[in-house]
This record gives sequence, C-alpha cells and structure tokens, in this order.
Amino acid sequence: MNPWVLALVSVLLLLVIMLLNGSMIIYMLRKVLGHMHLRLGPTELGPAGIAQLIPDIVKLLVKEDRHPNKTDRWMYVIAPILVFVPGLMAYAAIPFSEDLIAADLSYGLLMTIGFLSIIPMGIFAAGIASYNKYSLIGAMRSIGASISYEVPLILSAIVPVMLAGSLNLREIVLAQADSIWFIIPAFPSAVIFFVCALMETANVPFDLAEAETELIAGFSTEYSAMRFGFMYLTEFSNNFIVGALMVVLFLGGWTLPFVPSELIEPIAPVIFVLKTYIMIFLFMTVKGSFSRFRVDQMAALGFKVLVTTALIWALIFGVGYKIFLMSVGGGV
Amino acid sequence: MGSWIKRTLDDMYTGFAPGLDPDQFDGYDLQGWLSPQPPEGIVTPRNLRRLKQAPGMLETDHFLLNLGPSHPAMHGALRMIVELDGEFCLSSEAHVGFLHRGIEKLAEKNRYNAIGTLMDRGDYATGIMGEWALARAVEKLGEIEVPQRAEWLRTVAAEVNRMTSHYLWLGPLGLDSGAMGPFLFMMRDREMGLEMLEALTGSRMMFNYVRPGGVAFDWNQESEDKLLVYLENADKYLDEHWTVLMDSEFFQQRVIGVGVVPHEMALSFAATGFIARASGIDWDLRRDRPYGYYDKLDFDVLTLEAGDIWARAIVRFDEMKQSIRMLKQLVEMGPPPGEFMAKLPRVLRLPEGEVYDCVEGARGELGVHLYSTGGDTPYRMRYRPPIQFHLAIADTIAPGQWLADALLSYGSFDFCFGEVDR
Repeated sequence: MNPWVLALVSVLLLLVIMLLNGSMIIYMLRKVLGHMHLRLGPTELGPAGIAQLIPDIVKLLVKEDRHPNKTDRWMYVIAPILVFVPGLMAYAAIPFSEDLIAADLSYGLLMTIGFLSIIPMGIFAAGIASYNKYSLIGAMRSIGASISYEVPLILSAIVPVMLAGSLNLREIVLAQADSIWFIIPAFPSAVIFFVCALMETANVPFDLAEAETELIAGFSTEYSAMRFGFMYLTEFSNNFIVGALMVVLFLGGWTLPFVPSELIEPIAPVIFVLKTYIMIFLFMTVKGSFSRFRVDQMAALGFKVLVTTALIWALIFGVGYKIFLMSVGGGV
Repeated sequence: MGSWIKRTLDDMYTGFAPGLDPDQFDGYDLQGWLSPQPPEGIVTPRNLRRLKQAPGMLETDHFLLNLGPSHPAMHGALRMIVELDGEFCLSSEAHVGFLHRGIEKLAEKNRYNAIGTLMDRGDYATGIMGEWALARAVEKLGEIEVPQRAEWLRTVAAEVNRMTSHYLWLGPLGLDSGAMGPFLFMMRDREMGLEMLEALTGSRMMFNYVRPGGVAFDWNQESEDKLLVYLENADKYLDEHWTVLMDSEFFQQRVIGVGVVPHEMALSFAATGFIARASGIDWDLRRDRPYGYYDKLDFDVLTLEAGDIWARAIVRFDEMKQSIRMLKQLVEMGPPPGEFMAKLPRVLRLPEGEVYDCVEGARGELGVHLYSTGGDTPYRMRYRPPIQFHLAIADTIAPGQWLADALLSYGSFDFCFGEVDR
C-alpha cells in the first residue's frame, strides 16, 4: 500500500482513539468520583448516563469562540494546538498488540515521553497569551511541575529499559512475556513512575496548574468553545498515555502471566486497553481521596525525594543486574 | 480591616445616646486597643521587603491580584487584594460590604418580635444563635422570665445548628486544600441536622424560631425521631470524617503550622470562639457564663496552644463531639414540662435602658447591644459579629505566606459575610 495513505489512515485512527479515550475518561471520572463522593454522577441520558457525553461535546462545538481583548492573538490561537498535537503524537508508539502499532520506532519510549513533555509548553503559551494573572500563575506552576516530574519519570523508566535492553515499547513487552512482569524486579521504579504519572496527568495531589479553589481554572480560564475543548480533551487523554506507558513498562503490556500467547493473540488489544483503564481507575481513586500539595512541597517532593531515590535505585539496580548477568554467564 | 471595625465602633458610641452633642463627645479612645501595629514576630510587608532587598537576594517585580468577591475560594462576598511576589503573598487587603443590607438600621424600625428575622439574615449559617442573642438582650432589658421548656428547646436547636454550621466549615476547608470528597460527605450529615431543624422550626435556614420570651413551636414527635436518627449516626460519621480528611497526611501537611494566630494577637484583636480557643485562650461562654440549659450539662472545652489551622480544626472537631454529647444528655433529660412561651403582651414594650447580651455562637461571641428609649422598637441596635474581628486577624497574618496557604488560612476563619457586612 502507498505509505502516505497508510500514514494518513493510522493518524485518523489514532485521532478517533484519542477522542474516544478522552470522552470515555471524562465519563468514567464523573462516575468514579461520583460514587466515591456519595453521588451518582450522570444518570439521565442513555444507559447509566453514558449519552451525556454527546450533548457535552456538542456544547463545546457550538459555543462561541471568544477572544478576550489584549490577548497575544497568535500565541492564544496556537496554544491549544501545541497541547493537542503532541497529545495525539504520543499515541503513535503505543503497542496495543504485537502488530497493532502506528509507528514501531526503535526509540518509542523516548519519543512518547518527549511528546508528553511538549504539552506543558503549550499550557505555558496558553497562560502567557491569556493576559490573565490567574492563567499566568497556573502556567508558571505547570512549568514548575514539569521540571520536577520529568527527570524522575525518565530515571524510573530506565530500569525496565535495562532489563529489556531496548527503548522499543513492543520489545519491552516481549521481554516481559519471556520472563516476568518488570514490576516484580523493579518495584521502586514502578512506585516512582506512578507518582510521576499523577504529576504528569495533573491529578489531585498535584493539580496545581488549575487548582480550582485557588486559580479558578488556571491556564484555561480565558479559553472557550473548542479551543478549551482541545485542552480539556488532551488532559484527559493523557491519562491513557501514561497509564499505557505504565502498563507497557511494568505490567506486561498485552500479555497475561501463565496464559499462552496463542490464546491471547486475538484479544490482545482488549487486554491492553483494560489494563490501562485499571491504571486510570487507580489515578481516579487517588484524585478522589487526597488534598493538594503546595507549590514548594511538590517541588521538594520532585527534586529531593523522587530524583534522589530514582537515581540511587537506578545505580543500585544497574550494578546489581550487571553482577547478576556476569554470575549467570550472560554478560552484556 | 481594623479601620472598618473602628468605624463601626465609633459609629456605635459617638452620638449614640439621644441628646448627646457629637461635638462634645470625642468617642472612646480605641486606638490603643486596636493597635495598628501587629505584634512582634509577625511578618509584615515592610520587613519582608527589607528582607528581600538584602544583598544576595534576587529582586523581582510584584503584582496585585484581585480575589473575589465572586471567587471559588472566597466563602461569601469577600474581596481581597493581594500583592504577590511570584506566589508569595506580600500584603493583603480585605474589602467588605458587598452583602450590606442595613440590618442594624432596619432593626430600629421593627418591633422586638420582628427583629429575629433580621438576625437570621445576619449570620445565616447559624440563625438560631443570632435569634437567641437578641432574645436574651430583650429578656434582660424587659426582665422577662423564660420557661425552662423554652430554654431546653433553644439549647437543642442551637447545638444542632452549631453542628450543621461546623460541617459547612470543615468540608469547604478540605475543599480549599483540594480534597473534594469530605465536603460531600459532610453535606450528607448536615442534611440530617437540617432535616431535624426543619421538623422543629419549619425552616432550613431562616428559622425565626427563638423569640423574645420563648420559642415559636413546641417539641414534636417528628423532630424527636429525626434527632434520634441524627445522634445514632453522628458519632460514626464523625469518625469517618476523621479518617477521610483529618487523618490524611496530605491534608495535615497543608494545615499544620500554617496560618498561625499567636496568643497575644488573638488577645489584642478580640478573638473569641474557636479562634481564641485554638490560640490558648480558655474561654467559652457556655461554660464560663452559662445560659440556657448549659449549666445542667456536662461537657468539656478544648483549648490548644498552637494557633494554626490544624489546631482550629481539632478544636472544632472536638466541639462537634461535645455537641453530640450534650444533645444525648438533653434527649435523656427530655423536655421539662410547662409552657414553651412566656406570657407576653402582643406588642412588646421595653423600658428605657441599655443592654448587651451575648451567646457562644458557632464562630465566637455573638452579641446584641440594644438601646431602648421605651416603646416597641429599639432606638439603636448593634450586632457584635465575631467574624469581623477575626477578619482583621486573617488580614494581618496573610502576608508572608504562599498564596495557597493565604487562601487556606482565610478560609479557616469561617467567614459568614451576612454577619460581617450585616
């Protein structure tokens, strides 16, 4: 097939997946938080209120797209795109099954994390361009958060990479299918990765950038209609990406332990998506339970605790793994 | 904020008595009491700036941020202008008066029985307390004997109302710190208390239940059933709140050591209620100047020294437990027999005179000052709002904190702007 057509089809498919994910996660968040808070969440439209999504999205589509005065017009327009496009690109390297990957890159992990780290730039642009002090504070907080979680995020992903010997997400999963899930040898890394994932998705203990009771809506205060919708949707669909990374790096991707791969093969994407949604459910239970960190407390957690722990653990694990390999006669 | 308090007090005392020449009377000297200089050890904008201008510190630009009057973190119509350096709060200025309805002036045109409805609209979260303070002032001036049954009913209603008000504080405090769950848990419990009050008084907020001389309605079976259901669950639910909110380290790290009100400051700013008790002032009107049924009840008053938000939360949490204890004792005693309303003329006329009386409201000492020249309406009425004095404290301690902490500590004073603005 023509490679251009193939690329176009896979981008469109990813777009559909992203939009579906974003809206499903919004619905799921309402239901999960509702039940955690002694409420029911949406109930009226459709079975269990699932059709509530349609009027919500239609509302975002048909609302007036307002430009406040005194905004930096160019940056104001480009910021939602800067948020949305990396959010879509980050889906490219995620392996839903052994064959179902949009772009099977040998450096897939780096690319995914790299695209995720562009999103705070878009948020920063939105905050700067809005000409609003609340947005500005939210944008600064977002950058502050970004520099405090990204280093430990990558450092904690190093250990599975060492074990698999590859940056390709598919090969990391296959390495786990051959041996054990990496959460068992690399449990501290998984914990650090989970905390960083909470920071990345701006879930409640770390939702400083849009702290509802302090900054109203943070960086998105001045946005309306679909521009707001893009940022909102990306934020929720990010949950899926970090959840999927967690599943790929530590929880064996589409594989299941003690089940032969022939049985799994036809339903591999279903297993992968289910596992990812279990991770998202965990994020949501955290979101519904805890209080927010303060700016300095979050920076202290990122720099003092997470970076240090991740570095020391990576060092200990690297040396230990090397010694283990040499003792069994493998040698890398 | 201090200037606002001074102004209302000046307004109260200068030219207060009829026939007094305002030019001759230069008012009470309040300057010494309401010291414009905050006590030692408080970071003021001035010394903070000096601190930041010290060699080696990076000098950055400051900006003003307007918070409110309609802002999700503002509990009521408070407008607050903060000067920020990054996220660091350098100074803060509270602007009040967005909910001013002239309650004190309206009271001059209303008969004593009708003022109670205005008191409900003062402190709207605890209507019973305001009504009770007014009723006590009227009864003191008119030397009206209140039946014991009415005192019992007032005490029950006041304690339930105190708990509903405390829920409305602790939940939003969690919400301010980012925890949304506890707020909705507490709304469930508050609903049970409000249902009981509805059965007793016929209203959920604007009760108009406590009247001069007694109460409006007698004890009934429905309210007793609802109170028993409430008491059955209240202890269990309080333990739940402890687990969900107070015992969470995420919440504790936000509130411990934040928004500290030192002991001397609480004294010099006339703090009462839970603010005073959290700062080491052992003072509770229910125990120290008993009224209603409180002298027959067995309860403890918790006093802590720390003065931070956490101490306030603990003090209030304990108050809720004591309220449950008191309500259980009251239910056990049962309402004493007799009338629930004293025999009074239809139009109440009070003799000439001046009187002040107060109750321990949910937020502090809630008092009413009446000046009567005879007749069926007061010549002047003044409402003593505890929160207005606490607002001056909140305004003073906000500088030198992070923006997030400043908002949290503002919220921790439990403002009710119906009362501040009147």
